[in-house]
Amino acid sequence: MTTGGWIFMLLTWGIIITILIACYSRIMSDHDNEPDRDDYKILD
Amino acid sequence: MSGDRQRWGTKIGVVLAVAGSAVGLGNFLRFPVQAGKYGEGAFMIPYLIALVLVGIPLMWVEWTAGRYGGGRGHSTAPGIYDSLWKKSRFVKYLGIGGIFGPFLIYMYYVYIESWCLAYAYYSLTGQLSNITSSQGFIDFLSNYQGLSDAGFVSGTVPGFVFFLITFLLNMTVIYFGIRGGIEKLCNIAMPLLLIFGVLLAIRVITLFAPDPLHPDWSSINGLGFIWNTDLSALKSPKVWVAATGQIFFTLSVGMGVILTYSSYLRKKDDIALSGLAAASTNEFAEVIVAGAIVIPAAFIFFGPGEIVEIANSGAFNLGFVTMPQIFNKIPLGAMLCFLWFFMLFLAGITSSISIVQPSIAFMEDEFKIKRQKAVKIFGVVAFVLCQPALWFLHRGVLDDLDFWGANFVIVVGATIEIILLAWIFGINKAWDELHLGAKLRVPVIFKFITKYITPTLLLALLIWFFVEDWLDIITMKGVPPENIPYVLGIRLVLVGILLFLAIMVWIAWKRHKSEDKAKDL
Repeated sequence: MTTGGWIFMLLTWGIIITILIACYSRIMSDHDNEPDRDDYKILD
Repeated sequence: MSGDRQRWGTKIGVVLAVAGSAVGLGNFLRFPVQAGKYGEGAFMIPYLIALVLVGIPLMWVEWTAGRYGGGRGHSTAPGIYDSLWKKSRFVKYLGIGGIFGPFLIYMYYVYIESWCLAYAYYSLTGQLSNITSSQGFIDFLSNYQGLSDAGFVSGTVPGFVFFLITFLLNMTVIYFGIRGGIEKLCNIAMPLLLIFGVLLAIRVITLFAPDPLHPDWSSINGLGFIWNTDLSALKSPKVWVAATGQIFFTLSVGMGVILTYSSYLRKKDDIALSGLAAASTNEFAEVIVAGAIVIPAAFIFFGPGEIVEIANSGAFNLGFVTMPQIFNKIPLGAMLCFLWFFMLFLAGITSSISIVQPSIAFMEDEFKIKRQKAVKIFGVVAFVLCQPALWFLHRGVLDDLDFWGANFVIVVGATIEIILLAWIFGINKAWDELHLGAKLRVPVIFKFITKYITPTLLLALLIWFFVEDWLDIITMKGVPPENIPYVLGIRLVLVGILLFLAIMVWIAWKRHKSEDKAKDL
């Protein structure tokens, strides 16, 4: 694998993983992520 | 109208469900085939450019349109398009593709998904590890499909049994609804699928160069086959078209599934963030996980000379012939082979349930049929219409269905969708709608890309596909004469389904009108 190949691969992997972690950490830290109790009441 | 709608339980649930829909067999089989065909540095640059200019904007378009329509009581494209363009009486008919496309993909996809379950089972029972040659695996597959009798499995019976199990599993998940079925399954299946994928990728990469006769045939050079950049290869328009096409298929955009899934969101759910999260999960599975398994593994055991040949032999050959052959050469191969096929099965089921939902949602929303009854109706109709793919596989029926479902409908559907949202509904209104409740601000350049660049690229792609590939397929050029009645037969069935859906949309809107009149009185 060439040096250019390594740089291209690691850069792409890095960007994808960074976006992935950033998105999921924001979603998980959002308190809205808890199931909505009222909705359960409606369904029950 | 929207008070008693089904809703997603959690934000992570909807993201995993949309990602589950996107991460399918195409990620693990089609992507390596494309990367291998146009490999040696040619594929990844156009692929990533197409992701930014076509994939991500279309993803946001579908999430925006879906939530907007959901807020007006519609979960499928006819109703959503009708909400977006109130003045048009005909736009709802353009949305038929959002039910027709997923349905016709389902007619063959669930059968291929059942192969994965069967092969996972055969990996555990040791039937695959007994096969020693490439021809042996080809014979096994054709025997399983009922195309020959090579003595591995007894004709079509196992194939039908595994299809039945897979079909019933799909129906069971859908029966329990958005939160109780789809969301629960994806919450378990998606992390499991990614864990299996990462384990396989680590195993392949840590093989390094196992053959002392070929020290260059290493996993790292296998990665290099995809990632080494060869800028001269970018002059070929075919690479750009193939890369853009792959972005389409991988993100599940254009077929109407994301429209339906996002219609179950609440008005102020962050769709900008959720859309990006789902797209990045899909890219993780495809670019990082699948990219580190299939091509590097094939490179190690077959060398650079045979990679293009293997890729040209197609996705089924790669998945069901080449990969098990590779696992047989690795310690703990039977276990790895099981992981591979079970991972494919999980990728398949999270996608197949998503393509059922538009049909169910159409019956629920537009005809007020209860979900359980709608699932039963769908189950009976789909079971019958899945049979041609099973029994006439050798007659080219599956390939023809794949062309209409996974090529034609989604590209045409995405073009209609983006023009409708960016030009008729209006890009400014769409932009506001996308950011309603969003903590993530999408860079303003995407407004320009969504309005001008993506539609232009889609129209160019549509023309290219039509002239270069589709015309020959539509006119059945190259179809053996003995297969023509079967291909023609399945096309007549598709026309029948399309007409039936058009009539259903007409009846539904007639009913809505009379219901509205009754309310006014």
